Amino acid sequence: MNWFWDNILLKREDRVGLLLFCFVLFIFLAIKWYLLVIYDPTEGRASTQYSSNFEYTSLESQQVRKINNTTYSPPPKIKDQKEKETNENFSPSYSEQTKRFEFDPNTLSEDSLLSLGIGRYAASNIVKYRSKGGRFIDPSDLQKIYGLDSLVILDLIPYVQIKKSSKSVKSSYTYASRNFTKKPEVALASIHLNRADTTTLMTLKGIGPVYAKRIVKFRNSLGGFFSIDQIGEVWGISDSLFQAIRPYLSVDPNLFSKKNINEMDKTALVKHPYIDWKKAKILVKYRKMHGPFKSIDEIKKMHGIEPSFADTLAFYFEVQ
Amino acid sequence: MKFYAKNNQIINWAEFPMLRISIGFIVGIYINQVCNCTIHVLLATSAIMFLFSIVLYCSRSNSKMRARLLSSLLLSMVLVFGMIRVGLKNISGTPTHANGEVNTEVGVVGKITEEIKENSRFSTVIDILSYDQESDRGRVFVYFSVKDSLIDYEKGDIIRIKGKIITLKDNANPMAFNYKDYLKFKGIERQVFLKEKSHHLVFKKKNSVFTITDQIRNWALGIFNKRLKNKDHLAVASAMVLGYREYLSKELYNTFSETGAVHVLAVSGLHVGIICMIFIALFNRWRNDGPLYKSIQFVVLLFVVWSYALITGGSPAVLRAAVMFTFLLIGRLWFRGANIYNILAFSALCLLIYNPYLLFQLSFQLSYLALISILFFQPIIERWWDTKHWIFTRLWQLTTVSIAAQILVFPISIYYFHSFPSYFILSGIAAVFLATFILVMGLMVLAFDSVLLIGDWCADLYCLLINLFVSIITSIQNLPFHSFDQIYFSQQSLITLYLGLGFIMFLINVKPRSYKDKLYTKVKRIRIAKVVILSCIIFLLVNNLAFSKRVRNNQKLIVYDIFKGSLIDVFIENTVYSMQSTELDSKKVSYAASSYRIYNGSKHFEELSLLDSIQQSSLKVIDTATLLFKNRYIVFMDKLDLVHGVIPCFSDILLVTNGTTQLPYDFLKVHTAVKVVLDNSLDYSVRNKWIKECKNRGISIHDIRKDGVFII
Repeated sequence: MNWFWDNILLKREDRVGLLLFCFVLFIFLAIKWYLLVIYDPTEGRASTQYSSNFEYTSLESQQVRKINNTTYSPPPKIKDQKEKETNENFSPSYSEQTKRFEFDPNTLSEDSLLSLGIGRYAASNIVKYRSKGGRFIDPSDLQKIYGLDSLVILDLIPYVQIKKSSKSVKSSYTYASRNFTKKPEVALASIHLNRADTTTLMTLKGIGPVYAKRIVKFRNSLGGFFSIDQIGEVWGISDSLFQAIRPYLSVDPNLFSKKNINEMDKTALVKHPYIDWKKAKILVKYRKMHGPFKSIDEIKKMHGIEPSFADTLAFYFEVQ
Repeated sequence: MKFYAKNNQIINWAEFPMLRISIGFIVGIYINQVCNCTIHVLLATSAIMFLFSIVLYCSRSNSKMRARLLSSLLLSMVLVFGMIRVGLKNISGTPTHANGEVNTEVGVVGKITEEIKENSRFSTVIDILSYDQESDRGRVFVYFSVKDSLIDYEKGDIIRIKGKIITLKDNANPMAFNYKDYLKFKGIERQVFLKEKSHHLVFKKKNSVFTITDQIRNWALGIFNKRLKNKDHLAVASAMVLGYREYLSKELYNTFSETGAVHVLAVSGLHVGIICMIFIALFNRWRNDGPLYKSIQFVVLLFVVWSYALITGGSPAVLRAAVMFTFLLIGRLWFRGANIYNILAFSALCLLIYNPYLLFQLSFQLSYLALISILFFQPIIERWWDTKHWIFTRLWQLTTVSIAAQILVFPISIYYFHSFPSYFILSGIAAVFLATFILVMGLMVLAFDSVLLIGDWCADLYCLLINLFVSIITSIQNLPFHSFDQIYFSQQSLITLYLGLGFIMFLINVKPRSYKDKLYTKVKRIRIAKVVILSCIIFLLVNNLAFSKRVRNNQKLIVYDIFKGSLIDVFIENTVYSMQSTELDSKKVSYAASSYRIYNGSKHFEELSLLDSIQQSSLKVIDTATLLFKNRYIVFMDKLDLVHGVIPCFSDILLVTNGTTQLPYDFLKVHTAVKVVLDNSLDYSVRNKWIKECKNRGISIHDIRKDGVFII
C-alpha cells in the first residue's frame, strides 16, 4: 500500500496548481455541457409543427402568394410533371402555423413577418431597422437583425425577393427564381448571335439581363461576331457558363458590315475592342509612311502585329 | 536527462508534475470509451469531488492522511474530467433527433468542412446546422450524384441538401480496416447519397482565419505547379512544404513507406522544428538580450509556428509540435527553461482537451511515441560512440535519432502496417538530412518566385534537390530485402511488448546511488523489473510458437463480403488459394482480405482455378465445378455451365457467387444441397429468388450481405 501512496502523493504547490487547473477545466466542461445538452437555440422561436411529408403544391403556394399583394409576382410557370417535382424537392416542410412565401423584407408588414415564423421581437427589430433607414440589399442581410434566429434565416433565404428600388424597377431579381425556375428549353443552335436581342439571349440558362446587355454591347462595339468563341471574351462570362450555353448558339459571320480601315483615325480604331492604343498607333503610322492599305493582308506583314491578330482584323475591316 | 526515483516511486514524479495529470486524463478517456457513463452523473460526481477537495484544502489539519486524500482526490478528478470530455465529444457527434435511421428524405442545412473531393463522384463532409428546420449537430459524409458533373462549392460554404441520411455500415470482413471507427474518430457517423440536383447553395463562405490560410496554401501550390514540371517533384514538394498530399501517387507513397521515410511526407514536428530553427538562427544574427527584443522574438516565432501549423492543415503531429514550441518558448522567455517531458505531457493534455478523439488516431499515437522514444533513447545511444571529427558526430547523431525513434514506434507500426523497413537507418539519415534542405529551398522558391533569374535558379536547384532525394529513396527500395513483409502482431503481443519496453526504460533509469539504496528498495525493484521483462520475452516467444502452430494446422475456407464482387480464399498451412471475380480491382481485394491473409500467416499465394488439378490431403479438385475441402463437397454454382450436361447431384456447400444469374428452380430439383451460401455479388432479384426457394425446400442459407462472411 505504501508503494501506491508514494506514487499518488502530490507536492504542496502541485496540489494548489492542480486545484486551480481542475477549477478551470470544470468550468470549461460545464459550459460545453450546457451548450450541448441544455441550451437549445430554437427556444424562443414561434413553436412550429413540422409535417414529415412535403405538401407544398403550386396551388397552395399561389394562395399564399396572394396574401401579400405588395410583392406579388407571377409564380414560376410549371410546365410538366417533372419540373413540378424538382420544384417540390426544395420546398421545406410546410405547416399551418408557419407559412413560406416569397417576400420582400423591405416592405413586408409586421403581421406578415410574424406569419413567416419570425419571432415578435425580431419582427419588431426588422420594422425598427427599416424605419431608421436600413435597407435589405442582399438576402443575407437578414443576419444583421438582432434576435432573428440563424436557423430561421437559413430557411427564409430562398424566399427573399428584394426589389431593386421602387423608382427604377429594372428586373425582378428573385433569389428563389434563380435556383428553382427553369427557363423554357431552347433548341440547339437556335440563337443567332448577330441577330439576337437581349430578350432572346435571356432565354438561355445562366444569361440574365446583365449578361445579355453586355453581349449586345460587345457585339455593337465589335461590329458583330464571327465565331461563337468570342462569347467567352465577354466580361464576366465564366468558362463553365460559356460551355453550358455554347450548344444553343450559332453564328453567321456574313451578317455584319465591314469598316474601311483607310478612313479611320487613331481614336476611331481604338474604339474597337481588339485594338489597343499601341496597335492603333502602329496601324496609323504604317498608313502614314506607306500610304493607304492596298489590301487587308498587308497588315500581316507589319512589324509588331501577330499574323493571327491580322486574321482577326480581316473580319472587321476592309480596304476600299 | 536523468531522473532518479525516490522511495517507492516508479519515476520521480516531483520533477514532472504534468505527467501524472496527463496520464489520468488519458486513462479517463479510455475508461469512458469502454463503459460510456452518463454525463450528468459524472458532472455531479466531479462537482462533489471538487467541493470536497476545497474543504480538504482549507482544513487546518496537517496530517499525512489529508495530503494523501487530497492528492488522490485531485488525480481521480482529472480522470473523471477525461471521462466527461470524451462523453461530451460522443454527444456532439450524435444527432439530437432520432431520425438517423428514418427512411424519409429530409432537408439538411450544413457547412462544408472539407475540400470537395473528386473520385468517381464528388464527395465532401458537412457540419449539420439544421435538420428539417430544427437545430442539430454532427457531421455527415455527402456523396453527390454521379450525374452532377460539376460541383463548385468551396470549403466554408453553407449548403442545403435533401436526401436519406443513413449511418455508416460496419466493415464485415474479419481483421479488415475498420473504416467506420476511423471516421467516427474524425466525428463522422453518418452518410448521405444525394440524388441529382438535390442540393443548393444558401450562403457563400465568409472570410475567416482559415480561408486566409487556405488562400496562402493555394497561392503556394500555384507557384509549385508553375515551377515544378515533374509530377513526382511537385507531389514531394507540396507534401513536405505545405502538407498537401493530393498530388502523391500511390507508387511514390509506397516507395516512401516501404523504406520507412514516409514520415517526412507528412508535415510534422520535424518540419515545424526546422522552420523554428531558421527563424531562431535569423534572430541570433542580431544578438541582443533586452527584454523588449526577447518579447518581439517570442511573438514573431509564435506567429510563424502557428501560421505554419494552420497553413499545413493542422494535423495532430503539427498541432503537437506547435503547442510544444509555444510552451518551450514561454519557458525560455519567462522561466529558466522548462522540462521537455513536462511540456510533452502538457501539450498532449491540451490537445486531448481540445479533441479527445485524437487519442485514437494513429498519427497522434505515432507522433508522441516517436518523440518520447527520441528524447529517451537518443542520448543513451549517442554515448555509445564518441567521435572527434564533426562530420562523424553529425552523422552519428542523425543515425542515433533514426534508431531511437524506431524503438517505441516499431511495435505499433508493425501492428498496423504488418511490415518493417530494414534500411530505416539509411532512409532516416537521408530523409532528415535532405528534408531540411528541401524545406528551406521550398520556402526560398516561394519567396523569390517573382524575382527574375533568382526565382528560376531556385526552382532549377530545387528540382535537382528533390530528384536527388527521390532517387536515393528509390535506390534504397531497390536494395534486396528492403522490408520485412507480412508480419503478424496480435494485440496481446503488442501490449506485452510495450510493457516490456516500459520496464526496460524503468531499468535504465533506476540506478542505485547510495549503499542504502542498494541494500533496500532499489535492488528489489530492479529484480522485479528484470523478472517482468523476462516474462514478457517468454510470453512473446510462446505467442509466436502458438501462432506458427496455428498456421501449421490451418485449414480454412472464407467467402468475403465485397460489394458487387466475390472473393474466396482457401487457407492451407501457409498457402492461400484465392479465387476472385474478374472485374474486381486489387484495391478492393487488399482492403478486404490482406489483413486476414496475414493473420493466417500465409506466405505463398496461388490462384485457385478449378481447371488445374490440386491433389492435397485436405483440398482436392474433383471437376471444374466441385471442390473437396475438409471432406466436404463444395460446388460452385457459376462454374456449372462448364461441366457439359453433368450436374453434380449432391453438395455439402453450394456457393452461389460471382454475380451468377442462374436461378434455383430447375437446379434444386436434381441437386441436394445441405447449405447454400449467397454472395454479395448477386443481384437483388436473383438473391431473393434463391432465398425464397431455399426456404421452401428447407435448405439452410448463409446470406453474406446479412450474416457476414462465411468461414469453415
